[in-house]
Amino acid sequence: MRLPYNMPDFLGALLSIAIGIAVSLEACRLQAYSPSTYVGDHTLPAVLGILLIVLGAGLLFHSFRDKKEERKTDAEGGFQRKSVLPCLLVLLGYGLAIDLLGYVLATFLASIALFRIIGSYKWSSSIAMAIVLTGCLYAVFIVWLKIAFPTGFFF
Amino acid sequence: MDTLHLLLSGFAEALTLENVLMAAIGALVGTFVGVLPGLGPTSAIAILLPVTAVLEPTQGIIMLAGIYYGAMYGGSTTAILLNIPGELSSVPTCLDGYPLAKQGKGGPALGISAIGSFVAGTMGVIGLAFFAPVLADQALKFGPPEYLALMVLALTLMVSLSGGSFLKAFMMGAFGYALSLIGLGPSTGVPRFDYGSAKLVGGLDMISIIIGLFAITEVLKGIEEKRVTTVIGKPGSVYPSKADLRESAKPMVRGGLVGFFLGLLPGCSAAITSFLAYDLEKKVSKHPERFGHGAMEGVAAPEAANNATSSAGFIPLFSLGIPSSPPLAILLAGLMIYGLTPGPVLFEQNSGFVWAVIASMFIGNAMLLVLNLPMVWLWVKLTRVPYGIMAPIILIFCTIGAYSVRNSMFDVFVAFLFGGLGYLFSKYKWPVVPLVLCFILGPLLEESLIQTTAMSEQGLAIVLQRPISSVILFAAAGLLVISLLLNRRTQKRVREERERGIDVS
Repeated sequence: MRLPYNMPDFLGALLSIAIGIAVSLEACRLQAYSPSTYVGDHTLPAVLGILLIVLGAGLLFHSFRDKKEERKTDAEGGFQRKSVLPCLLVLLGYGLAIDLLGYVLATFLASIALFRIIGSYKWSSSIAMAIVLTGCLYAVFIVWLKIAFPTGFFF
Repeated sequence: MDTLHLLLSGFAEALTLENVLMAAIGALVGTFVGVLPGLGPTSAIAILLPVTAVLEPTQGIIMLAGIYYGAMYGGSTTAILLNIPGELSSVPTCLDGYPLAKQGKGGPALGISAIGSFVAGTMGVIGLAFFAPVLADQALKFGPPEYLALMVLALTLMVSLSGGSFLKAFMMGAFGYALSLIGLGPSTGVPRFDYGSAKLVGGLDMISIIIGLFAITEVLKGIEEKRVTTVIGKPGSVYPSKADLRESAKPMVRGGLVGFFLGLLPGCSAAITSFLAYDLEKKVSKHPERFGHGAMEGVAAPEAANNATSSAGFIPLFSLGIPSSPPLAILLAGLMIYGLTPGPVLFEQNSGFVWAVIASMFIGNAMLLVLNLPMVWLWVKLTRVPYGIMAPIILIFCTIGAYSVRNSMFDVFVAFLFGGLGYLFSKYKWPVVPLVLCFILGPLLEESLIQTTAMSEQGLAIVLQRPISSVILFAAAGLLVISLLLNRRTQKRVREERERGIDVS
């Protein structure tokens, strides 16, 4: 089987078709709750479901034809493993840690990790900057603006 | 007289000490974020939008206006001093602004840019005050079919926001509409797309999506590009000489007029008008050979056009609820946080608030002249803060922003998810603005679609039978053609400038 020239577009098209199918199925489910066959909460989902499938099919076809795009995207590569992916993982961990450790402690730890990953600073510098950042955020958002952040299990 | 009275009362509201302070802080912070290389006005507003959410409505909107104009000015600063346009609309400013900076005339170029922005912004406020009563009169005639026609008109924006591939733009738009459907259905109240999760019943918060797609994505892109601080040469005095002002006065007015009148058309972006203004200036100039080598007119005209378009964009935004540029789409989200839904009845229902907003736009713009211009050297110094320090601060800030709107950790995860998605979208050239635009307009489209179909036995044919809605539909068709032609021209110009070495981010 011939491979598509533009793999990212090909995958995007498949994803669009999958989303279109999911949206269409939801439209079918919602239709049961509606008093009218044509008008109700299912109308727009039905239209969008079909649209996503049709546009996805269009792009799928296009991804086998457009040779120019292939060179561009291949050259760009995937996620930059050394920096972007760890950064996203830290953010994910940060989100989970806020509920467990509380906002202040989680922010302190996440800041250290981010300063280390993005700026490649030494541990001592990262910890010092994280203390300053967390302290400033605590003063502005918790003390002054009184935003209620999760306090975690320890407090 | 009524309009003048309302505008004056808006100024009275906006000119209290606290509100002026908010405008000043907004302009300063907006400029600071705007001057960070690679961050344009859209990202700047997205990063700072949640900060305004903790303020009371009028102060929040006023700060937002300051941020908007500050970020726009910050974008021009990087275009002139660094040859890095934050957005496409700043590309023409680079063409002569950077050569001027290299000749040691960066300061006067920045001064001309700020004066041009102020002149054009003032034209926008006057235009808005002039058009507002006319549109307010029409407001009560708008029913569901007219709103539905407006939503179709908004689709013409896809052409200017597509970034090259219409197919991808429409797919992203459809994806945005699909995301807006998550939550309770408007007519039955049945949860949709919740898949058994209670968190999804409340729907997705637009601010989280915006923070993810613009702010977090921008930081991730910066990390990938290994952005570093850039040392900028001293720009010199920011006050232009009399000769500079004389040289720039006419281009400023011409650029302002081109920008304002074309900016009234939804779908005509600031990138289109700034290129048109630059090319027009080159054509009417007695010395066209100076363009590209440091002509002050080459800065004045596109900057005025850029700002006039942005100001004129408030007219379709306020009157029709259609944002004609990415920063305005984010601003629309900002206005909606305060329960202010732009559209035909806005002036009827929230006139006091709206006029305060219009006045605050003017104040935000004026702040550039009195506050930002004398402090340009400080901005330049602040850009020397290493990216390794700036990026973690922005990311932590984004977390607070996403959380503070609904005090929900779910929104924080949504922001992170869309940050990752936005990075991939940007990497593979999928335009994100259609997604945001359609996500914002989705609920209105659905409501008007359901109501229109329920109104008549003929279904959607009613849209063509009512005079206002049919005129809007024909206008949409006309605008589509105009947008296609103008965009093709702009893309060609951008390609030409890219080949000449302008780094369009």
